[in-house]
Amino acid sequence: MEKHKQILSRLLMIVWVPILVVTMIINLVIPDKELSTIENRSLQTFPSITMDSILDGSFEKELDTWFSDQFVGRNTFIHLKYIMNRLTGNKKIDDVYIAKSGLMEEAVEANGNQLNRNLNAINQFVSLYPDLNAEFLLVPNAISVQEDKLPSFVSGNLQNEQMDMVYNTLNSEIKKIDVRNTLKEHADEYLYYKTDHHWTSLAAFYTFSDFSKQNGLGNTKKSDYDIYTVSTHFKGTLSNKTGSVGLKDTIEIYVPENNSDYIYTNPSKSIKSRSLYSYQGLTSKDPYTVFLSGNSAYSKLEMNNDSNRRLIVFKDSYANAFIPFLVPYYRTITIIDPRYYFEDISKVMVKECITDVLFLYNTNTFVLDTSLADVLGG
Amino acid sequence: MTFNNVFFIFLFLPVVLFFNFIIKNKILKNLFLVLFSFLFYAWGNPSTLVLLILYILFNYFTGLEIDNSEGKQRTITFVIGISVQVLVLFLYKYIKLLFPFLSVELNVPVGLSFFTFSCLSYLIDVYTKKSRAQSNLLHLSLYISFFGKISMGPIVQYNQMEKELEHHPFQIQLFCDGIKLFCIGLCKKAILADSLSIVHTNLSASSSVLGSWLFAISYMLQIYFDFSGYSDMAIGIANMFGFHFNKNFDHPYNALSIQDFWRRWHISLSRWFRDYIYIPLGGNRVSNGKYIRNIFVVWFLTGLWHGANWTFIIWGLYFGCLLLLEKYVLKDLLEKCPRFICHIYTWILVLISWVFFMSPNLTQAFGVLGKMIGINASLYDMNALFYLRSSVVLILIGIVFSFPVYEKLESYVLGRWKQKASIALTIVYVVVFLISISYVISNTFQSFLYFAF
Amino acid sequence: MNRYKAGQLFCIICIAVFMLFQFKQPSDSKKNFEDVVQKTIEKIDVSQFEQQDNLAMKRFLSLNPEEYENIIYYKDIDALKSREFVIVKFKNSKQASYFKLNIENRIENQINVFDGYAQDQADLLKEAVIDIQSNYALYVVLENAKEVDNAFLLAL
Repeated sequence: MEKHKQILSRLLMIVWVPILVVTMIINLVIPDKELSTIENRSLQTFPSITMDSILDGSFEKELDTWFSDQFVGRNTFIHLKYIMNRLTGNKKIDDVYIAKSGLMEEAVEANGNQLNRNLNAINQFVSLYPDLNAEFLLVPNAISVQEDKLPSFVSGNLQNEQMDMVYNTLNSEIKKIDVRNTLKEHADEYLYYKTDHHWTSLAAFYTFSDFSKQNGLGNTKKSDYDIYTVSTHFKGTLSNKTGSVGLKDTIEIYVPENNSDYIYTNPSKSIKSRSLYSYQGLTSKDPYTVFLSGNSAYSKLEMNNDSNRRLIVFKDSYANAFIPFLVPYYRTITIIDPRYYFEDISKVMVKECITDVLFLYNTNTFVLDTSLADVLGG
Repeated sequence: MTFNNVFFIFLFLPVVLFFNFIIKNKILKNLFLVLFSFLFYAWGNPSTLVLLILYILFNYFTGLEIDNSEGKQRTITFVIGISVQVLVLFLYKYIKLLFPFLSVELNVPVGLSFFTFSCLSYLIDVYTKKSRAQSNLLHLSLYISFFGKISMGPIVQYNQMEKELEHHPFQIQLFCDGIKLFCIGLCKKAILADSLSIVHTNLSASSSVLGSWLFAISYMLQIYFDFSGYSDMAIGIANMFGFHFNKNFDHPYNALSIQDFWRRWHISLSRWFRDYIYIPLGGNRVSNGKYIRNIFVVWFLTGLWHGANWTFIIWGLYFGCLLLLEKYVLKDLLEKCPRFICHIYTWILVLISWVFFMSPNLTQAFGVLGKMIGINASLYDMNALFYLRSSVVLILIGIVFSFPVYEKLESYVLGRWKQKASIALTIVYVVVFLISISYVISNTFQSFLYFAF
Repeated sequence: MNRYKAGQLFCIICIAVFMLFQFKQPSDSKKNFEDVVQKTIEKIDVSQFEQQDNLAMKRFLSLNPEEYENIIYYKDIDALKSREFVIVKFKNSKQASYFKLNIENRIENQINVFDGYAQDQADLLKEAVIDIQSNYALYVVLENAKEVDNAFLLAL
């Protein structure tokens, strides 16, 4: 038995040393990759050698990161770790739950100060424009809608409480659109991406049905839309965070049959187009940016219909999938993402003759947002 | 640089092994080893290398002067040697304990506590004539700076490594055993310790009995796998270079008493305190009064060594008291008790000690202990239940492997299926090694717990 | 004194000097604020930046400019770029840690905004320099941040 113990060690050495040497050689020989598709971030390339950076330790740190980022088979190893997590019954990686239907982000704790600041700013802003039709739509995340898919002992209660608080704090002039019940009715359907923190166009559709009813725009049916599948292997942000294996998503777009012609202008991305969908976005590392080419400070849709309503939307990325549903019902839609917007919004309100304002956020982003109040002038 | 890092495993280590293997000249071999150790140490923080080199020179001159003089001169030289290094250690680590208002941002050299104790071991061994002063600067440098043990031990006494410094030839079986040990250590650290640390961190805000027990137990397992894992890697590396290091952990949670526990936990540290403080003070060959004093001095220092915080000091003194209790009161009781009761007795007491060790201050420590017995706490909370479910497999694996289960299993399998078993187990080791690498790669922010020492 | 004793003494002196350096804290600079700013921004093409007012400092950096003896804040004219820099002279050294904390928060928020959308801007933020030198401090997000930092240190 002692002899076999020794044989075991020797066999291990015979395999291990070559693994070490071969891996080292391969790592030094293969060229650097700049981007990681599964992690959605840039990878460290070989750092520049300067006396300064060696002495303060930054060169060594970067060299370390370089070796690790450029490690051969890095993606495979990340997927392996994910599988190990699954095998040991681990149900949470970083802040992402491994639910029965896919990956779900946890409900985040609100930044109390900022949240109050934002809510006050919204109230104040709306009171500045008494003729304005103001609406507020807070979209719940998967964690509070698809609770029966969650692992045991996790609940979306935190979100429900947060949303209740938000709706109660807003003034009565602001029309509140609460889609929680509607979405919960359809909880078994494909409402949220399995690998991304965004909602699907189906969920946006159900939400729009509520919006439509509340705004007197009539009942909507799926048959009112042409539904196109634009991607069948979308792997989103949650897949990037966890290195998940075996999960992918489909992206659909809902084009209203009674759609208006429009021109979509996005100055920061130099876009002037007849379509708010971006093929470039679809084929980029974040296919969700097929909607409106992602987030920009300011963009505008000008329709060729005879509506006399001009809408401004203050939003986060969830609204990108929702805005296509709004197109037939407004003359213009001005889209502001407060995280990037630093101009004077009051000028826009006047210049574009705004008649309606819509605040559209998802709960996890809204409770941590630090930009809205500043943009509204709060 | 640390061991659980792909740059170290797949670049630094193979390069150093290569040089060690092809250089046959003993002096040149050691020179390369020392230079690589310096590189390892300076990595990321080059200025601390200056201190390390100064220490080597200082101990070199001091040691030779001690050997060269007699009587009062000898003692004075020795005392100066000890004092300077203890003072530096004190200034870096403990100044805040005495002068909390000092807002100094200090760059504490990595492994200061470890290599200071190595240097003190050298001086004391020379002074007590256990060893001759090392006249070869290269050899002394190797002893102090060897990258296998400089940042986190084990604290190898000079007299134990002395003979191998000049001549540590390649021995194939030792080399292979070193690789095996290294893989085991990496698995303990990368897979078990790091995963447990995530569970532990997520339970810190827990307000329930269940939550606080999980909080404590996950730490108890985490620190064992973290520290013993690193020690395994260190000893494994030393083996690869032809050095024999003693084991630093011997399944401490298999202990039957607190005394037994300390024969199994961080063995090199407790031996250091025993050989260099306890025995010189008289050990247990003195009057009862002095013996109790000796115990308290040693355990006060053991606690203090871990950090400048009252929690560590209480942790040390707590064990001091328990050891006295076991010697004077519980001795017969423990001998008569069934093994299982002894185990539970040890686990509970050790668990309590870890609560002090892991808490940032005494208030929080007592808070956690209180919650564990239901004071100010609900029976369970959602978060605790979630983590219980999520980590139950991990914790069970941790508990099982803290006993000598694996070694016995491996022996049995090898004995039964011989050749086939060797091959199968080799594959197991390689697979586990690759899984460990996947954990290391996916993870850039889990540093070693004992790194702060 | 034999050579071993000499060696021992030499080492003690070196160790003492080394420790002194470790414990030495940067001392106040007596230089004029305008001069410091002038020398620091020599390497920067200021035409691409816009000096920000008090409101902007409160809004973006969560800092109250009234609290400091002197502070200037420049941001890139292009809203989609993360480049910016701040030079501040403290009234007392206790303000340093608060300043550092707020700037670190600013960097984190900015990284969240730019990560995934404009990766190169996010990378610039990750290389940002915060340098606190007793009564002066510098925060810079620029491609040549280190150069600006060096100029800053020389200016003091």
